[in-house]
Amino acid sequence: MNNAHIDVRTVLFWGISAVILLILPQLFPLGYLVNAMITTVVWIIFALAFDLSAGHVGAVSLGHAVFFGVGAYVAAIAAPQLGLGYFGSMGLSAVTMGILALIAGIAFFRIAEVSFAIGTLGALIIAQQIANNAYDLTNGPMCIQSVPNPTIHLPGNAISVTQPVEYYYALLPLLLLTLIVYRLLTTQRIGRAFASVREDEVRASAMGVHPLRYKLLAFSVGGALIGALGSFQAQYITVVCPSELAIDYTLTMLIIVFVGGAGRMRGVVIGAILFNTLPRILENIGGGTIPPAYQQVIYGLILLGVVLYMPDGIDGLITRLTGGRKSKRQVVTDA
Amino acid sequence: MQETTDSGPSGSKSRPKRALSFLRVQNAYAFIGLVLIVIFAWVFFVIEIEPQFYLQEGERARYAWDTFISQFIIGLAQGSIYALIALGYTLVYGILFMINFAHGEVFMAGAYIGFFAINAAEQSGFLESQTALAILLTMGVAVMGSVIVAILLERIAYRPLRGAPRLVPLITAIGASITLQQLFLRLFGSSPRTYPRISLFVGQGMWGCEPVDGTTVCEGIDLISKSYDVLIFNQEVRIRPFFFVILFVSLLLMSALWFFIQRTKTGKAMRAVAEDKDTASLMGINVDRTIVITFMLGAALAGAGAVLFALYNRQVTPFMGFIPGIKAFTAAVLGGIGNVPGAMFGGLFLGVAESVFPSALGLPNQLKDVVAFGLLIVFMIFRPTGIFGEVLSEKKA
Repeated sequence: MNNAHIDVRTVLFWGISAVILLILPQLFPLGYLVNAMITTVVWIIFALAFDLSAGHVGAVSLGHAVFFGVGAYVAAIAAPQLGLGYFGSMGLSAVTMGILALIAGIAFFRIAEVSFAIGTLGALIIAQQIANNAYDLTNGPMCIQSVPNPTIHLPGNAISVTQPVEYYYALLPLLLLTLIVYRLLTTQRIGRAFASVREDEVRASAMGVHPLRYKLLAFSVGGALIGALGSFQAQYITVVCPSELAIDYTLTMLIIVFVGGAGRMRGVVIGAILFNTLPRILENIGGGTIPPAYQQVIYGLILLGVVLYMPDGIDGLITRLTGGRKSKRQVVTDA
Repeated sequence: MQETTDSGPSGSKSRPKRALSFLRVQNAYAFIGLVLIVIFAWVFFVIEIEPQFYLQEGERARYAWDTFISQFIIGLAQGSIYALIALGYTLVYGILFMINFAHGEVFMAGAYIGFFAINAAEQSGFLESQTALAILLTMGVAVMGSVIVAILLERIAYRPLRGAPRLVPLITAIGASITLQQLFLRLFGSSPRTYPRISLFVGQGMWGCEPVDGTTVCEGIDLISKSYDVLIFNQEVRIRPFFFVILFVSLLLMSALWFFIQRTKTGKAMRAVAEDKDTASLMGINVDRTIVITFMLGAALAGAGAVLFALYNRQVTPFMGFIPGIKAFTAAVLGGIGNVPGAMFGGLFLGVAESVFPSALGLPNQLKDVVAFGLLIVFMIFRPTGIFGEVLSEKKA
């Protein structure tokens, strides 16, 4: 990384975030708080992996939950039979989902962007229907119950993960990996290639950037990360249902990514945190001024409003208010 | 508008060789013929030849001609509703090159508003005394409701984004779609609303004669709710006359649409705007107005389809529009999105395919969604132009 671009504020931001992430469960060892933090981290990883293809190469797939759900099923069905531990199971889901994403990408990237979105949605519905009907494999709507609690094999001893706090710390390495991979892929040469593919594929290929290759890279890396996340989810909840393949995940992901700011790491992270904390805070402080039942209506309206009036999301707003760097989109169109 | 720039290695035109190129039959009718021959050959095999290998004495085959015929008719009825919705996608795509993802919710809104109309008619006894008129009125109210929702959608979610990158309206459409679904859920509750059971007798004294207490009473045929045993091709099949009503009404509406597009001045304006917005506007065509009219037409068909659908299924829920919406989109893709006769044909084809295929292939019937979306993906990948060959891609921007 180019040293000239690392300024003190960025280092402070990430440093403080890391400290908070590590210390918070120790300061407040409350079950529900830790569970809420796990959910938030899951969504951060999910949204970042989704943003790799949606925000950076401009391929919005409405079927990303396939990697999550099928990854969870792989962890619930195959991993115990192979006797894999926590990280082994994650690795297996990541590899299989990476390959699935690669194959799906080769097939689906032949179609134009908007049809791509709906084609992947079709694939998601197909996956859910199969999970619902393949009783022998997935137990159908009765779900796969009692996925074994994971064990982490360290040189010397094996730790069994059972408490929420333990799950939380077991999830952090995946978060770190996701952040590093995201950073590596979206800066430097690859990141610029991604941006060029997103803005104009014809021009990108004229510049010697093969659009399909970069799209496949973003799509399969994102798929692999989400697969690993699905494996975590299966071992954390210990139940895997066809509802893991629901369209709801897609909608939540769209809201997080577009409200936070598509194609911006900070924005996506902020979006995921807000999405998971704001409703709880509103419920407690507002004293029920907004009935929780109307939350979904409000989510829909927020998504609508943000796209119409705040196309760069919250991160774009922050950048504008602090007078920071120009938005990435602008840099590319200016160039 | 219609420029055909080649779009790099990932575009669909510049690639000289593709897999399964034999699927790219240039002549649509040859393609349809091929598909029909394959389907009938397979059905014939399953019904006539395969049972000889596994059937024991006195056992009934798992699939026979009567099942096939009744599934085919149900498929036609279901398909004509898909076709009505698909026309909404295709009309909007033909003009704006965007996919109105919230169209399924326009359909749902029509069914709900129709429910309130027909419910009021039932409460007041009007449905009992003037059944046909009440159903017509219900359809009118549902059409109005759908049209209003569509106008609001266009004004709020799509018009500000005309000219934005093409993914952006899709995201607002998804936002609008969730908002509408959840709004109806909160306003009218999550328990399904049920349309009343309606009987509409026609042809008194001609058909439907039954012996009652020794004398023959001819009360006519119930067009909507009852099923009858009928002989078709020497097979006894149990069908509802309503299937044919759906097919007939849909074909009527579709031909009305076809007439409107081809013969009226507004239809001409729509075709001009689809061809080239800027030039059309130079010729004195009000582009905004024409686009609104396009949305209204699509919504009207969806509203009429919604009432037919609800009279058939009777249950109305806030989520009922989602799956039919995507299936209708599939139908539009099958026929070639942006192509009006294509959407009609695609709808009927999809309806029949998802009704007939699962049992013909020996799969559980719940997998019909898999058949539908499998077709969607296969067509998108191998024949993105659909059967009738309108280009579905970034070629038009």
